[in-house]
Amino acid sequence: MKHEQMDASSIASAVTSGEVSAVEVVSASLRRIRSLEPRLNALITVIEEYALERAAHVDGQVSSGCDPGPLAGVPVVVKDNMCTRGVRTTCGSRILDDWEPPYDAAVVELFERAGAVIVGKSNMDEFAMGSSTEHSCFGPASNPRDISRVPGGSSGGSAASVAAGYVPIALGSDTGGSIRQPAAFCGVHGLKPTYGMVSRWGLVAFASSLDQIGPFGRSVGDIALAMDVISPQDFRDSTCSRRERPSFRDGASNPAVKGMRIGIVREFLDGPLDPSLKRSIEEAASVLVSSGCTMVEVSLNESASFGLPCYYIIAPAEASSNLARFDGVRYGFREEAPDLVSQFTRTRSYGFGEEVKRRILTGTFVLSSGYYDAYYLTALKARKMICQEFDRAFRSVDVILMPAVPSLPFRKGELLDDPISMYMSDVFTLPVNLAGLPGMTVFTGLEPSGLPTSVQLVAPRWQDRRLVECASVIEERFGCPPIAEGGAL
Amino acid sequence: MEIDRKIVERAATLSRIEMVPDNVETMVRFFQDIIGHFRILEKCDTTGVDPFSTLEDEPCPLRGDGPVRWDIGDEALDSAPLREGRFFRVPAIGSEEGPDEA
Amino acid sequence: MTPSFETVIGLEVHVQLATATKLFCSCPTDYIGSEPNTLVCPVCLGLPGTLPSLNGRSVELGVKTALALGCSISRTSRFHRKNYFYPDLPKAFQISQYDLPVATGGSMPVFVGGEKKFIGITRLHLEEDAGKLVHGTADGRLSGRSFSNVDYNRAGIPLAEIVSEPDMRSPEEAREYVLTLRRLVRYLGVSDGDMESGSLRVDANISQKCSDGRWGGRVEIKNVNSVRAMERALDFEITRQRGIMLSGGTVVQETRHWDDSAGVTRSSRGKEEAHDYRYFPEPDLPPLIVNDALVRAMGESLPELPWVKRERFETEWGLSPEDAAVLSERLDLAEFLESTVASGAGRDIAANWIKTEILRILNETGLDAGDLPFTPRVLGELLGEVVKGSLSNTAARDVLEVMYRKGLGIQDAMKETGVVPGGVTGDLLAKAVRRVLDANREETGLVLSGADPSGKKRKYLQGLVMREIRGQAPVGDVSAVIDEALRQMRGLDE
Ligand SMILES: [Mg+2]
Ligand SMILES: [Zn+2]
Repeated sequence: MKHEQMDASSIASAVTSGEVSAVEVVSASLRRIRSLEPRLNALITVIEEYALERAAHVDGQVSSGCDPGPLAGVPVVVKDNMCTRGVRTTCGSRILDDWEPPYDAAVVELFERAGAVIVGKSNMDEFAMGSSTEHSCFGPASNPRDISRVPGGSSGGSAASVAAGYVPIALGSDTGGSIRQPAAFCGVHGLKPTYGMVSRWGLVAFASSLDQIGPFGRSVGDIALAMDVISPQDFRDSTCSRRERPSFRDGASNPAVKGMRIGIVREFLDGPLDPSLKRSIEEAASVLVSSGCTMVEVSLNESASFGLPCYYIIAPAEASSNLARFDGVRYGFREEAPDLVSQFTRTRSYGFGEEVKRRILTGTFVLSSGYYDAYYLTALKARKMICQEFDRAFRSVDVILMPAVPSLPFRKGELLDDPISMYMSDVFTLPVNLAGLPGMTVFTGLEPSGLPTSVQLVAPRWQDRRLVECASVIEERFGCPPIAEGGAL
Repeated sequence: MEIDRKIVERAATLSRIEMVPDNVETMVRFFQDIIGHFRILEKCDTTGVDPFSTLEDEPCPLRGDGPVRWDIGDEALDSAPLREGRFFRVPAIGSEEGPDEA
Repeated sequence: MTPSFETVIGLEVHVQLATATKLFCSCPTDYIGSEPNTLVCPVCLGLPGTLPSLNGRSVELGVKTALALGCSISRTSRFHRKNYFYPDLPKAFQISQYDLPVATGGSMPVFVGGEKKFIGITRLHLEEDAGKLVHGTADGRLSGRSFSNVDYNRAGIPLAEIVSEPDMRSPEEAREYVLTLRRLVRYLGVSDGDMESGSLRVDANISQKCSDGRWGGRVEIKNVNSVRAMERALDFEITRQRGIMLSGGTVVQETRHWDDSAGVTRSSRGKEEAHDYRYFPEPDLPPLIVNDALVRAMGESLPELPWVKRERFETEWGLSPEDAAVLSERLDLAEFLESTVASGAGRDIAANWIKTEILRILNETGLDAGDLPFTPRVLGELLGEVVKGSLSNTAARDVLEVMYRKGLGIQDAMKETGVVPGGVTGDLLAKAVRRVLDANREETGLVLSGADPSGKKRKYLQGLVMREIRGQAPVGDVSAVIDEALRQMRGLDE
């Protein structure tokens, strides 16, 4: 089996046993990247030299009898909004201007401590604002299943890296669907954990109360493995929970779904939804039923109605504040000017792209005096009601089964001039962020067109393990996502 | 509420972002669209809802008061757009531009 | 009839809390005298991806101060972001408390002209400090600025902002309020309260109420760097605001900056847009829960408060108001006094000695009373000797001096000083007289030859003897022994 077809746990055990060297695995990953990157543009930075050094270090550990960890020699990609010490971290923005952080994100530390080798930083919508990875100052990324289409976003580069077989595992961040939507578009699995499960230390913030890091993988086992590595608590993130973490791998290998009540959301199936995705829901439901689950209909009327406006108030509000620090004083890009206000203004006007500016302005507006109560405060209340609605739903079900996206991946440029339609592609994912719930996109197969279908699973807070349990059952029926060869136009 | 240039320009000034004149019109249209969308929330009956109670049932953790030196001063200064000795340098601040707060 | 005015003053005081680390990161706080931008980390530089983590000690110190001010502690409080752009503010927002501060509704007694008045405390909240800007010109000219340098060492230092009710009616009351608050934070050990170095910063709100029913706009005065500057600025504003109102004008609500060298306040408004801080709850910090155990522990850690102590010294101990004020100014001094008295010394003599001798030593050395090389009990013993009459005041003072300079006990210090307990008499006194007369042959000769009709020289010699024996004998005895010695010397000459 070629290295790019192996899953992370097989790579790690082969490296740990000395069957294959980490350097070989990482070199194969880098070769794959070199051959496909011109077509995909999934990575902003390829970390070649350092990756090979790290791989050699892992091999050294193996030969000296140390355990390099559960991800020994596994090549991985992290989204370019996660700080990597000494390696530029751009967030897809001109304003960071090759900024090299002096510290590592918590997930980067944890990955490296587990023996993983970061081979690249993935392309993304600028500051994670977008659903297509077209809003990157490094150019758009392509969907490896059909390069005329977008990979989704904002973690489109990470999703594409996994789908194209660069790496078995990549990390993304999900504020309103930025893991689950590109996972659906690229045809891989992607999990957004419960808010507070994974440390956000070193994740450049978009909307702090919604952002959460999670993995992409081509197998549920790899998703579980990655989650076990990145989920330890971290005192540096005050919103990172101190409660005990579940064993994800145990959940993936011993799924106990029998007797689970699965919720089907009528509102989400009756609205605009691609028929193939509706069919995926039905098929996944029957798989779960045949494994001993029962189907229960639940209503998420408020989430369906108010989720989108609520999200597009709260996320920009937080973003307007989080992105205010980019003023050209301490780091990043700066446009010189004779006085301070014009320097700040020019730096930010040239440094940020159009979508980011749209969101900053929206966020500033909803927080400004005279409008705060009508918009921001109302959105907070609506958010609270959405949380309560999910709480009510989870009294009668254990997991909710719903679509991850309303449509199959759209074509590049198709929605670029229509920001609000672009926002609509997050309609099924963002209520999950608003309520801080765990959600997972699970691959359900390829259409004859070669485009992937998927479903989304959502669980109560801290019940992330249920997601990998149900996903394992679904994966058994539909198989793991195949590697995309970066199909020609 | 009427969304006009003034609203967009005020948000831009507060955000320290300037727009070329053509873009202002585009942004005004975007504001009209998105705020129109926000109106959906008027249908949301939020009476009696406490907006501030959070998801989190865990209180803010309290850190111990033991100092740690990072020693990144130089590294940080080096990555600044303009370093002057041990300082970050910015252009003159007009005395009227200062914030009222310290 | 000319209308009369009432001045209304409220103060916002920012107190730097004496923690070892910053409010949201573990950087050290001893920034004074440190090289610029050395006490910084990714968090307090506001680097992308960093998150705040709240210093528990600053919460304790804030709660302790609030309890001393009689505030009620909010069991749940919240941090907000206050958004504005300024180069000394690394994240372009300050993490502060807004609608749910950690403490509200207290009061503090202030003494003005012998009267006690309670000033209401609206709230106390925690927030982070900003960095520091140093302005300059590229060509070294003094006027105009072409650049500013930024130092983030101070960015993130914990502050307690204490907001008073508009209860003060004069600059004197405002001064006493600030001095009382400074004394309090020093008593509590929560801050060094030093205004010159910026550990305690005051913004004053002042307005005028006219007897004809008009109210002047409220003016906020910034940039007052000492108590004196605050009083001058308030005086200036009173004159300015009343002048405007007397001539029929309106005082506009605004922020004004005090220019200390020119002695005026200046409007800081210009083209500046109205501020809109867009406060919203800090999403990176869950609510701050202050539990009963913390409140209890802080309550128990409170010393007797300075104003309580001062009143007790006056009413219970019978000290004069001035002495009570001096002796309650510093907690270390007050505690030294109380321990001295507890060890058996009389209140009056102990108070007298401590407000003069001990305070002088502390002022000279900058020491804390607790760091003196002798304990209150030892001072009590020394004072006991004075009361018994075995040491004169002068001798005891000399002994004390040696005790602190050389770190000696009473006995050794007495030996070193040559002081003899019980006084200098008989042979010792005679020898001392002889030494003085021998050493001052000229004056002695003049006295002996009768060339001292006014007795000046003789008085001078007697003074020298008293100094030689450190006042350790009654003047009459000394005089008699001198006479005797002179007589003997005359006898020898004849
Ligand atoms: Mg303040
Ligand atoms: Zn720091």
